[in-house]
Amino acid sequence: MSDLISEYLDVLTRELSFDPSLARRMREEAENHLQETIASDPMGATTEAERRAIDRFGAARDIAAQYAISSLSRQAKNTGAAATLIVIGVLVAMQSRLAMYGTTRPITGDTPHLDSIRAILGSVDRFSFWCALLIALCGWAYICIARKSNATSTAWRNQMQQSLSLCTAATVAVVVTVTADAALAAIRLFPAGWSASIFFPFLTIVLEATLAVILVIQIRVVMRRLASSARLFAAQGSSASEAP
Amino acid sequence: MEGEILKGHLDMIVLAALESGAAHGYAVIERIRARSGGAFNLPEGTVYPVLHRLEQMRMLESRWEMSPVGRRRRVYSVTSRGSVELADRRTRWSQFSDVIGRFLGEGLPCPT
Repeated sequence: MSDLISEYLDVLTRELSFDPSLARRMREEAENHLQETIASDPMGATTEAERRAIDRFGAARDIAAQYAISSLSRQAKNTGAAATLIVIGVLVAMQSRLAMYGTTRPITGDTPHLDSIRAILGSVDRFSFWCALLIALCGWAYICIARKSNATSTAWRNQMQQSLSLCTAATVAVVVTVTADAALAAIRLFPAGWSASIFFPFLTIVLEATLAVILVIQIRVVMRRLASSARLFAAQGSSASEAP
Repeated sequence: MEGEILKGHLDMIVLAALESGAAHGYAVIERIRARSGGAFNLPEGTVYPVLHRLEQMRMLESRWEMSPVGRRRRVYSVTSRGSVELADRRTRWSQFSDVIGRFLGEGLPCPT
């Protein structure tokens, strides 16, 4: 493959970096297309034929812009769904741990002098959990509404940013609730020392923490991709109506 | 023909181009160019977002296959849903173009 074609495909891949799997697929299809165009050129495989093939294919940024809204909407929608499901996953882990406490008492050395701290942490835990669930549901619903509306690219970007901000707020609440859960479990379990009976509670805390980390990573990735796609919308102009 | 006018009808054009049989992106563009007598002359890359969108809407399906020269290429074909959609769009387009034709040709009174 020539440098000219390779350079064009690199630009196309970079412009489509908001959706890596799409970028790989599009690169392969574009390469095949350009090779066929060059092969059918009456002048043969010359640099001029390559340049003509690229011109006929179109600007990489224009092609990427046609994918941006549908791809990023889908990713944001998945993030909203993930946030909601992760909050529910945290609830399941929390409830199964509480159920286990109920069936295996006494597994630990309860510490009555820590009751007030436990009460505060319990309140923080409950409050942050319900906040997380409510905000995640609102964020998800908002993303779905934004996806359906016939918005301009600027309005759509604003809606995406607002809905992802809601998902970020839900994530913060999830992190708070998982931290409170971990602290509550530590207060309950550690005084008894290490034993087989703390394995399951420990596992549920690890599960909650993992879910929270997955959510943080997912939101960071989508927000970075949304930010990196800004140049595509700048090229299109803010007045173009282009909802998928 | 103006690209902006065409863009609104690209889904229908691509479905119609694939109606006669499965094809990869390059062949789709060639068919569009041939069937329009060269009037539809879009940037060729424009067809891929349309192909991918129609595939997501399950109006097209695709698979990788080897070309005669040994290159891997993605071939698209119309699904039954795509055929139904194309028939529906044809009917609507026919009705629309009839009305516009009569309106422009015979000076129909404007609806109030």
